Amino acid sequence: VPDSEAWVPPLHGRRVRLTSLTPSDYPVFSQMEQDYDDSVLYRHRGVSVPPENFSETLWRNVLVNFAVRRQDSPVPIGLVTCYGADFRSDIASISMNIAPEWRRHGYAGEAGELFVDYLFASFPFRKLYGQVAGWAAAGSGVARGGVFVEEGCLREHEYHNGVYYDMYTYALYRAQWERHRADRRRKTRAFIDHHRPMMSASFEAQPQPIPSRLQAGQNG
Amino acid sequence: MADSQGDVMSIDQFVIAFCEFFSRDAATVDRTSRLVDDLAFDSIEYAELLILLDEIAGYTVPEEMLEALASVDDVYIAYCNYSAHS
Repeated sequence: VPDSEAWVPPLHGRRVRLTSLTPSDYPVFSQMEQDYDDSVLYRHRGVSVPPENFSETLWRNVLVNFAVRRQDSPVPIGLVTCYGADFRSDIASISMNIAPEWRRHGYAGEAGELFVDYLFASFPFRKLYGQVAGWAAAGSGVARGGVFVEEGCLREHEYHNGVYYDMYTYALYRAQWERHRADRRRKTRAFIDHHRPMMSASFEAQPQPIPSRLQAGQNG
Repeated sequence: MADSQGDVMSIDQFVIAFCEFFSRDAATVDRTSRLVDDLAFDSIEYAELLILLDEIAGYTVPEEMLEALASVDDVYIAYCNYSAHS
């Protein structure tokens, strides 16, 4: 059970872990962002980046970069990034890219949860922004409501394949993140109660991952 | 509502619990409902489903099985299988 005052956000989940980047990862990220069939939809939007410049683009305006790796492999399957940090206003932006062959495995959700926990525990951010183009908003889960709040929309902003798509900015507030985590625990407990009452006792005993000093309202 | 069948919920009970967990209207969901096409499941909900199955199984279930889950009925079968091995 983590000590509430010395709690360090875990970077290891059940299936994935967040680790520092190494130069040997760069070709993997370059392929992920430029060589896949749907790369035109992601960060560089189909623009080629010279190999000698690629690593610099990975770190431009970046506060935190973690490689997402499966527990059983050193090869990165994705990248999570916190960029554009503004400590005067306590805000930053986040992004995530998971290689196509590893999507729909639950890795993105777990990596995102580890990353957001890490950012809110390590920095005094009030909220984290994410930008999502209209073609990706529905499947990414940010448009579902609840934990993400739509804070802006640039209409017909992004051109792709003959269509100008809207570009949305969503915000993840610290307080809503904490509520989301608590709500998920409550719902899981309720499901287990439906399933088998005796299991709920053991679930109740699970440690709460966020200490009280980091709860909503404690850090501005 | 049907009675529980041994250690697992009946499909009717499961649909209700499933809808409570994923915040869907149980009146519009049945065992044939497709996760993506009918319930608009997204990547975050797939991750939540996996964690839920972990909790039921009591261990980390293989994530590759998510690819086989297309409908509520598929999820129910997975639930029954993992309950049996928990």
